[in-house]
Amino acid sequence: MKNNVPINIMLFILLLLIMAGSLFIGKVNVPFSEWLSGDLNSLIITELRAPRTIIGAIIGAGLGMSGAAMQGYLRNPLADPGIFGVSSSAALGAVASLFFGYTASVYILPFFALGGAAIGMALLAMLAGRQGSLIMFTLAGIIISSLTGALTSLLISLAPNPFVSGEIVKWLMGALTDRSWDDVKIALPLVMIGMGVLTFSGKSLDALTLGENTAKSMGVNMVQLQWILIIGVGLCVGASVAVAGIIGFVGLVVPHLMRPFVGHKPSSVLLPSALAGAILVVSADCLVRSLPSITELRLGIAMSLLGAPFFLMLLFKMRRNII
Amino acid sequence: MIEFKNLSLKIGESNILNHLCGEIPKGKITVILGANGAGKSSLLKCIASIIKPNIGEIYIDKTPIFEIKPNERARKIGFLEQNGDIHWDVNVSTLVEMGCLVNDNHTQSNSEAIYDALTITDTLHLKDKVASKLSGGEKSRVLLARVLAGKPEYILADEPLAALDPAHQLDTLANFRDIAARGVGIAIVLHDLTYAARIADEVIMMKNGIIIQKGKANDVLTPQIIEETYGVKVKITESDNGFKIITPFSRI
Repeated sequence: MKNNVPINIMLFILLLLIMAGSLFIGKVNVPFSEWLSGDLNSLIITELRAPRTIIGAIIGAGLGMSGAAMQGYLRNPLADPGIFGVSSSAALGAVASLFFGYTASVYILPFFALGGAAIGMALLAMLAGRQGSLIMFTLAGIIISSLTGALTSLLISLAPNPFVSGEIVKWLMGALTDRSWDDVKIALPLVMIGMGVLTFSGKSLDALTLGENTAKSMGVNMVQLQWILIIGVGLCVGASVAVAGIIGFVGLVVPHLMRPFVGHKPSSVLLPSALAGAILVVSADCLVRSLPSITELRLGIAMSLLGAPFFLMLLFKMRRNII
Repeated sequence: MIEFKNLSLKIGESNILNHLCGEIPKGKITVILGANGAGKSSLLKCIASIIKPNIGEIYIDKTPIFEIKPNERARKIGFLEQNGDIHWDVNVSTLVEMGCLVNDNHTQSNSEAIYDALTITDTLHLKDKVASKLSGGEKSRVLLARVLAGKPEYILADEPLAALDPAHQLDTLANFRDIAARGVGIAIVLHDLTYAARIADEVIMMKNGIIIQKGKANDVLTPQIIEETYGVKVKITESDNGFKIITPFSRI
């Protein structure tokens, strides 16, 4: 049995370093001596970069752990919190608030997104049924994500003016631009609870390595496990979408990057994936911020651009193993 | 002793098991025989609480199974699945260690149990290999080691010999014999009649979801009963070291 404590501590220290470093990165150079001076430049640090970095770390951690839990649960290395339908139903909620123009307060859009996520989670639980069957669960997720995806497209096409549809499309791409401490207040507790719930899945996910039947014979309660997944992933992903839009690939990629270091046992991938997810999102956001472009590259797009070559790598690796 | 009474299972419109009664005594090997689709695997799955029977009762040491907590039940009954899955690229020792998940804490006795399980199943040399990449026979020995590592009081094994070479088949049978001698109750689904005769204390003969005969191995493994169960004629001879050899030679 591998001892992963040193790796987790290393990842945690790396995360803290990168978070600290990210405070230095941006279009305006603010010397360290002026950070707490209280003048306008210091606000860039305290009111813009600090919350942005913290949000990046929170959602990265939530998405990373959700991805690891989903892959363990579905026993599929290509599973992603997205197939769950929760991120697309949260997005639908947010899009609805943009569509109807309810954006007067910073809390309204996240509130709609969380509402969307909650409805998505409830639908998922209802459709998946009470047997705790994996196939039902996956099918239910696919149905919800395609339905909500279609409804989102519908709202875009029905948008009252090009400005609204532009806003929606831009929002859907996901970004951490101009986030505030209010967004931290929304995301932090929800993601923390979500991750806390997911840690309870470790033992059951390990038993699932031996297949559903053997896991059941080992006392795994599949129905309970399904609830843990729905609530845990729902909170993490719903909160992430609420404050940052859809940021893909984190949940998919991060567990893969961690397995060679911490072993393939599902429970030992959970925590490292959370830490590495946070590192990945904060670093990618630094990259996006420091690129010399007039309008900032959206983080969601940057992630997808990074994700595609990763998939290519995975494909080559799998092809080698098949032959 | 595990007892099942009046066990019936219906999936959709088909009756898989019909009013089965029987027992799996401690310290003995009970072999479950029957043609394909007779309901042998379903019976084991019901006892291991993987499938819930429609009616009937199951008792473990006189306690109704529904009164036993799932953890506690998992500690008592180890289930070895037919062609069991191994999903992630975990190495053999990690996989075998998963057998101890049913125990509450990781203690010294767990690592001893893991070492013993690897030794008995002749898989100690594989312990750092990736389990899912092993050969079929090695994989099934490793999966058996996983069950043994949990130190169950009862073992339910569904065709544990299917992927093994003859030498490891005999080894595995001998292992089951040793484990039973330590007081563990074992139920095995088999297809090989010769091995059944060699290992069984008790035999349960199934056909179309019914138990058609059960009892001491010598009383049940007769040409007449085998003919009735499988629809084949058999010749029974004896090996040099005194074991029954049952060879099917024609269909009826």
